[in-house]
Amino acid sequence: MHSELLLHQIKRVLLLLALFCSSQTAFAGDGSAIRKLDVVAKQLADNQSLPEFRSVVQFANQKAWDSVIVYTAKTLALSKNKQVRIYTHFYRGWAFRCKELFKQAQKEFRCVPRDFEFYFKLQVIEGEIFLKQSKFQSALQHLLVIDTLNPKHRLNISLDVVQHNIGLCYMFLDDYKKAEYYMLTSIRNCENTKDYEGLIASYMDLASIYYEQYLDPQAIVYFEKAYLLSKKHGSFQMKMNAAFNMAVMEENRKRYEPALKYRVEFEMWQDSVNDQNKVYDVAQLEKKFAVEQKQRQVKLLETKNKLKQSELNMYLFAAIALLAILVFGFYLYRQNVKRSKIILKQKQELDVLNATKDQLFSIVSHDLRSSVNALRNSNNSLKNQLVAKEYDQAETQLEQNSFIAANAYNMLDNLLNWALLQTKGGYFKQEEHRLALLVDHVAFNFKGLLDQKNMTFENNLPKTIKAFVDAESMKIVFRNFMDNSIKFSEEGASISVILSNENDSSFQFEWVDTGKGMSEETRLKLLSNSPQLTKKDHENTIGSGLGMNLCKSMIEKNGGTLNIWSEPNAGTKMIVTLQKAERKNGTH
Amino acid sequence: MEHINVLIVEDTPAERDALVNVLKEYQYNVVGIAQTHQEALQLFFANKVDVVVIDIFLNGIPEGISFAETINAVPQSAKPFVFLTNSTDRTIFERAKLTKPFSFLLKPFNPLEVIYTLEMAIERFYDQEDVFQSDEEAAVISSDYFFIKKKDRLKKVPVSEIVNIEVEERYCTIHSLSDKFVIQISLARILELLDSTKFLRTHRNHIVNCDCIVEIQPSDNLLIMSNKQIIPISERYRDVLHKFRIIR
Repeated sequence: MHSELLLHQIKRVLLLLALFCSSQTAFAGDGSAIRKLDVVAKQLADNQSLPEFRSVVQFANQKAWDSVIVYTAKTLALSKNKQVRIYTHFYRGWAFRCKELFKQAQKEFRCVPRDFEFYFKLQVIEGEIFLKQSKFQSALQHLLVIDTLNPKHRLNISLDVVQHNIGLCYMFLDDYKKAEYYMLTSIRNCENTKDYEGLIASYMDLASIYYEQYLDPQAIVYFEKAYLLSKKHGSFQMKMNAAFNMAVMEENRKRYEPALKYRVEFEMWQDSVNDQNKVYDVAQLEKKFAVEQKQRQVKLLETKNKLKQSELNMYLFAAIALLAILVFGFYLYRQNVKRSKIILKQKQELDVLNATKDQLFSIVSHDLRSSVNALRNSNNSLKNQLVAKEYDQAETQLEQNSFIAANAYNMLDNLLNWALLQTKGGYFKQEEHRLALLVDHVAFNFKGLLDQKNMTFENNLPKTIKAFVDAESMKIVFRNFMDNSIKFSEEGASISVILSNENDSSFQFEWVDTGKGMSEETRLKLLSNSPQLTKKDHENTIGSGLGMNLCKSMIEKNGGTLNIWSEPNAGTKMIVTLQKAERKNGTH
Repeated sequence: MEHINVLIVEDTPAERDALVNVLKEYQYNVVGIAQTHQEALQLFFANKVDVVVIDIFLNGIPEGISFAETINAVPQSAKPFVFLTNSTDRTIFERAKLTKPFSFLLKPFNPLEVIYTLEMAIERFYDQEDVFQSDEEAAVISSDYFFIKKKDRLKKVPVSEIVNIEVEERYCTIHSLSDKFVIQISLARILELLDSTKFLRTHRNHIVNCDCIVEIQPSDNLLIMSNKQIIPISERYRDVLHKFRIIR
């Protein structure tokens, strides 16, 4: 009696387990039917362009049942389309069923009319619901309709599940013959479709049916079959159930050793189911840990980035600094090059100047030497003439001497003035002067020479012309003009000074002689800025050109300009422009 | 008409002789030739000197500059002077310039330059530049003398000998006791230069030296001067008579 009671308890457990298994198989079995439903529903959604309904289909596909419930409610509120409403009710019912809210599911299904395309699908689900509610008669009504249906209308609904469920119904209604029949059909179908999980469930349920009828040997066969198959293909849950069933069976047969073995296995599977949960927890923890790790890594990377940024900045600054130094260096280099260029240029200029000076020295010393030599010779002959008392000849000799001396003096004077001009050591003060008087003062000294050459000099400058000049420097100019005019003129030539132009601030005068003139080449050389050391056109002596250079410099220093007009054998004009005195020196 | 008195401070005989010859030719009166600083000072204060020619270098040292400084120091005794030099050395010139010479005469010189320089020194000393170089006869007027250039010759007339001045447009005829000469000068300018306490304007065209008035004829508005000139007094300038205390 005691063992009877225990057995009964075990049976109930087994049945519950079997039920659980069957509901699972029912679910997995009709994927293709659902897929077709989804396709049709999606098309409908696209036609009606209802985003909410499309979402319903999508979420149903992803088995996100809560979202399906929310969106179906929205769709029902929005859409008036009959077709859409039917589909929506169907999805809503299905969602409720999956959330095990059977009453609501049935309420929704009642809104779906019988001519609904997938009505049989609906019936399968309703059957399952009744089965779960242990309303076996109602379940049978629904399921048998499907089973007896023309395969055309079945629409891919997996028959093995339906048959399995019918079998279960009969079993609970204690109609074991029918139960056995349906179970065996289901097994056959499952074998055909190689649905191993369905097969395991069916084997176990069939075994349970035999077990209920106390046909233990047959039951054991199927339990063992289920157990062996479950070892290969079943889920943990199935393996656990199969092992438990075997344990109970062996216990009943009083074979405790294998029973213990199965029990151990059962517990092992149970543990692994628990472990799965634990693993899940651990996985969660690990995940958390990993996230933390990742977070830390992110932080590390961030700081690394910052470090890199600062490093980069440092490099940038360093680069800029280097560039600046480079540019500065280049600038200095350029400056240096420029400076050295200037120095080189100056050096060349100095070289030229020095060469000029050297040449000047040689020419001057040569001139001086010949002058002094001439004087010496002249003096010797003068002595002889005095001894011989040839006074007339002595007088001409003396005149010659003074002429030579005057020439040498002029040259030396020019040299001195030129040197003073170069060193800027001379006295120079511009004042108001009547230029005509300065010309007269100079001309006074040349009276003898002019007379000697039978030349005439005429100063036609008006006395009223007042120039703003330094008197001594202008006298040097006039001396040179006079000297040149006399030197380069034949006997009887004339020299005159005339005012050629005059305005408020300046005036121009010309020193005109009717002498030999000069070539264009000589003219240009005389007007150039450095003393020219060329052989003069007329005389046999070499001229330094120093006098004209001095004239030009002096006139320019006085703020004037010098130009030369000349024609060979016609004469020369020294054209000078000077500033007028405009009461510059504060006199009355 | 008196000759201009020149003091020469020069130690080189050749230069000295050349100068003396030129000055004599142009009728200057050489009052003395000094060869040293001391001698120069002595001669300067012993004679009535009108203009001095100073050689910068005496016996190789620039003593001439010191002498110039000395005579410049006393304003009453200051006279125009000319520096004579053969140096074109700037430093010497700079130093000489500090004494404010009235001209420089550079050796070698010719007579024209000597005369020009002396005339310029006088012009500048009395601050009446560019008077003698014009073609006209002209005069530099000091408080004591009229320096008058007449036919290339510079002479002087003591102011006390000027009796009256007659103005005709741009020219003035200066009458002295024994002579007369015409110079180009404006009336306004000559009035400005003359001592206004001595020289009075009696007429639009007449200025008289009141020291030389011999007789006043108030009834006829005439003045009789010491050189027998008779000068009218116009209505406008009658007030000049009040300057004299007339005893009737």
